[in-house]
Amino acid sequence: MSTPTFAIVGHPNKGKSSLVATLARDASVRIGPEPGTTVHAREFPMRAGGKVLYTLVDTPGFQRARAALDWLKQHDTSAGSRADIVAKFVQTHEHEDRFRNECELLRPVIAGAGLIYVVDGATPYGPEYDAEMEILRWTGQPSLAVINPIGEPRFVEPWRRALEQFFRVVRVLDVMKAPFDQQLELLRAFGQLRETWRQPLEEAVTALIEHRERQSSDAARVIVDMIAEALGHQETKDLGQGEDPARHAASLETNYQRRLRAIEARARREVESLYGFDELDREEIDMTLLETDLLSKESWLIFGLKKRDLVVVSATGGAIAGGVVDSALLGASFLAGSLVGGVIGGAIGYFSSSKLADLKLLRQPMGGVRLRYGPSRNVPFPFVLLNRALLHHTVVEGRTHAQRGALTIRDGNAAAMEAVQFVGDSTRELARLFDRLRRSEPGTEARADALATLTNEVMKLMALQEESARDPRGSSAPLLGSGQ
Amino acid sequence: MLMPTPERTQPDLADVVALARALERDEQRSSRELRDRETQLAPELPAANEDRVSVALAWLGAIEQRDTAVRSVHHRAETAFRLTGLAIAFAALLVGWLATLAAFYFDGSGRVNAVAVLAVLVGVPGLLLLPFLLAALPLAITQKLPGASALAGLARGLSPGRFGAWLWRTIAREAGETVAFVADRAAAHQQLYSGVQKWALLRWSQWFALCFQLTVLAAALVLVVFTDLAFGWSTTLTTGDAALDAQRVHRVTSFLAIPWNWIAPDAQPSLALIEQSRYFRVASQPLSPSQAAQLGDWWPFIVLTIAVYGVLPRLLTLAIAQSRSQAAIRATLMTSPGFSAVMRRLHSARIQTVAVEPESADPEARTRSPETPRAPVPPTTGNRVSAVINWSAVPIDEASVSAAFPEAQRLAAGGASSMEQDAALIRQLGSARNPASERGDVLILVKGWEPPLLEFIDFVKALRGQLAGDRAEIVVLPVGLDSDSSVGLHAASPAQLKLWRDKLARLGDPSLRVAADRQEVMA
Repeated sequence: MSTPTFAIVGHPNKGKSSLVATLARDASVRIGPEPGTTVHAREFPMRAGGKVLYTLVDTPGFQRARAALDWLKQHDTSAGSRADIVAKFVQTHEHEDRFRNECELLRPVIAGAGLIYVVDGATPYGPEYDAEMEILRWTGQPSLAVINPIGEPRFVEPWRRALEQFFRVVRVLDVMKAPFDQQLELLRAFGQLRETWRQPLEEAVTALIEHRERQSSDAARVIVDMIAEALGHQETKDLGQGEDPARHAASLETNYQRRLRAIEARARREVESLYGFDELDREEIDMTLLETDLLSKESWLIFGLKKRDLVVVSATGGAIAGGVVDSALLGASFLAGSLVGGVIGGAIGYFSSSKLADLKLLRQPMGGVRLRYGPSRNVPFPFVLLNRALLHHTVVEGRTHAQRGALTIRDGNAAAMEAVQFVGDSTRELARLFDRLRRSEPGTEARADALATLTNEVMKLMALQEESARDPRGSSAPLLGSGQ
Repeated sequence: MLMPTPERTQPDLADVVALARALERDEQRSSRELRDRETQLAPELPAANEDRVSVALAWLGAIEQRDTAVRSVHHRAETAFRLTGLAIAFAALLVGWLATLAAFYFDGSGRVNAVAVLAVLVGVPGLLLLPFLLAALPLAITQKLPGASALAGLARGLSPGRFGAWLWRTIAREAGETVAFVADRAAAHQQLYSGVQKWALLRWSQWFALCFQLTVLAAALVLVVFTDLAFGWSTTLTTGDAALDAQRVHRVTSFLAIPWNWIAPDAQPSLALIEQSRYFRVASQPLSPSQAAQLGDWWPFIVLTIAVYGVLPRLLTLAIAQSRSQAAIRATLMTSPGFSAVMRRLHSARIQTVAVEPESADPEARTRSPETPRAPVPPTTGNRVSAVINWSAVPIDEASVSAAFPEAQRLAAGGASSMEQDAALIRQLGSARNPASERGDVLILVKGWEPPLLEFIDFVKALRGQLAGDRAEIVVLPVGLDSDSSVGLHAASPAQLKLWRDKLARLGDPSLRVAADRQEVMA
């Protein structure tokens, strides 16, 4: 059984390439206002697990349809079928510049491709389309018409009436904005054109649904990883004795904020890449931090020791030394050596820690003051991050590959801040999970568990968002907030 | 075409280094590049839902075949780690041999102190298990006990594994760049690599310890076989009763011999041998050959003590360190920054919908330059419009056209007209005009919302051919759609006008222009 192939044909500039870009999720398709942007037929095979389930063929638009139809009519005297005459037309003219477009678009059709005829529902039907539709009818291939309202759908009904005379199935689809489920519905309609095409198209739809679910769960994980990284992020600066902390405080804060934005931007790129968008320009308002007093100071000692550690280590050392004496006396000292050694060692550790900081080894200070900016302890902060990420995800998920230009996200901070006022059922659970993230170390099982649970919660939120996007009555209110 | 690589399931340290390098190099590539690469690689790799480590190793193998930089780092790291292991084994062999010679030192006048031998060769290394256990404590415990993390850190700091770390830096001088990269990476992702670092150190330390104990065991056997050893024991802390002292020692040796008592009950000194082998330095007498042979009977006990209390625990700790090290390597491999993205891309690559071939070059580029301009025929401005052609049935009411151009002839072309009818119209226009007297322009009304097709260009060219020598202009007026669907002469949008103007300008006809509205037609 040959692979179902569908040639997307029609008048120039009616959205053929946009339909292909949307269905094939390929942003590399050239789409332009000038007629003749597409000059060669280009194939878009849909592969699942290495098997091609169907192929879309983007074709150039008709440029000389009336002249082509004239030629066909002139050759209609032979005993052959009309499809053979169309094939003969392609054979005769395929090396000529004059009917280059017509040959390019008819070649896949005479090879057996189904016809997907695209028209613009925002502009009126005219007699210049008749020649195109007549040629397509001559091919004898199963066909379907898509009315694509580029802008206001003023002429959809007249178009429908005109198209129904030539095509068995007529669908209306705004190819620039078509949601995922409408795209699948159209693919299923392709499968209805011929009995043998039904199964591969159903398989393709199933594979695409699974793929979309996987994309969502991957995106959820990317968002959760981003939140975990942002929550744990801190900037530190070790100062020697006598250095003024105030000099470094501002740069630490700047670095902290820059890094958080970089973490968020990287996650944005990855989510976009998951949905097949590369190097999208993004119009989004930068994250506003909800707290600015994250600076703290602590003393530090060489080898990462803290004062408490130094005391314990010294006491242990003293106890071991005392223990040697105890052993030598075969226990006659009743562990007094260990006890006294431990106390003396601990005391030495306690009093020498500040002295140690003053020393230098190989010109490097052995202790000093550590300035730390972050990590954020603000309760709404992860909610803001999550809301902004979900907002971005919704826009990316709903974007088709036919759309050009920057990805515009409405004021993420405002939406996120609105959300803080919102109390949802999942809010307490999320707050608990954010707290677990804050308390667990990367690489530990506790962290892995918290990440996995939070990913599940985020996926539920994504599903809710998708539902509310589908429901036009649904409010645009954010889904969650700190609820504190 | 990728060469098939044998499927591996267990990563090593060199894989961690190579993966880090590969992911670092990926950061310099665009998402598109990465996705295209993964699309090519995915069919060659195990399915993404299989063991993620196997997929990671297969992916890394495929990347190394394409990227010599990653392959080179992997090779250097592998060599450096192997050499480090060998150097540690050699150092342990040296230390073990010297320690055994020292412990078994026998000047011929006295006896080898069995207690000292066991203390040096088994006792001290046994005590050094304590720092290992301390260093191996899980983070969750060391964090809760005050000072435990510092002690664990100290234990790791004093571990002979440090020798391995130092060797890894020293031996791999040729891999200097790799070492610097690993150091940078470890510093930048301390938490991520801390597990790997900890267990790599501990594995090296246990490898050293095991090699030391094996050397001691081998050296002891060599000394037993090739020298005449007479063992004894001695103490200052006596109870005053020699029989009681001997019984105490016998109790200790019997206790130590419990592990092998069931299989080699004779491999422990008897009470009689213990009593006999006690000696006092002041009273030491040269031994007769038969006495010396008898005192040599300690050797099975000493050898088995070294084997059971020296070698076996280190085998166990090495196995633990090895297993934990492998687990840490696997965990690190899976959580390396950027690796999740690789897995996601590999999974996405299972479903492909995009074009196989890239988009061809911009087709308009070759036609964008204007065609060779026709011989200039200076147009006369202010000509009246002598003919109005409605191209492709522009939906406009006749009254508004008649009102705007009352003297013009009304014609129709394109759309439902046949090609023959179009040709006849052009002939009719040509024959009806007298160049000397008739200078009326030809106005073509077109649908502004439709793009200019080659069919229309053919028509304009044919018309111009028919009007050759005529000073009349051909004016194209794109008509726009009005929001109220009325059928007047509405102006097309600026974008539509631009499209028409750009397309027709390429014809290079100075007497062909696109008018925006009725006023411009008359200008």
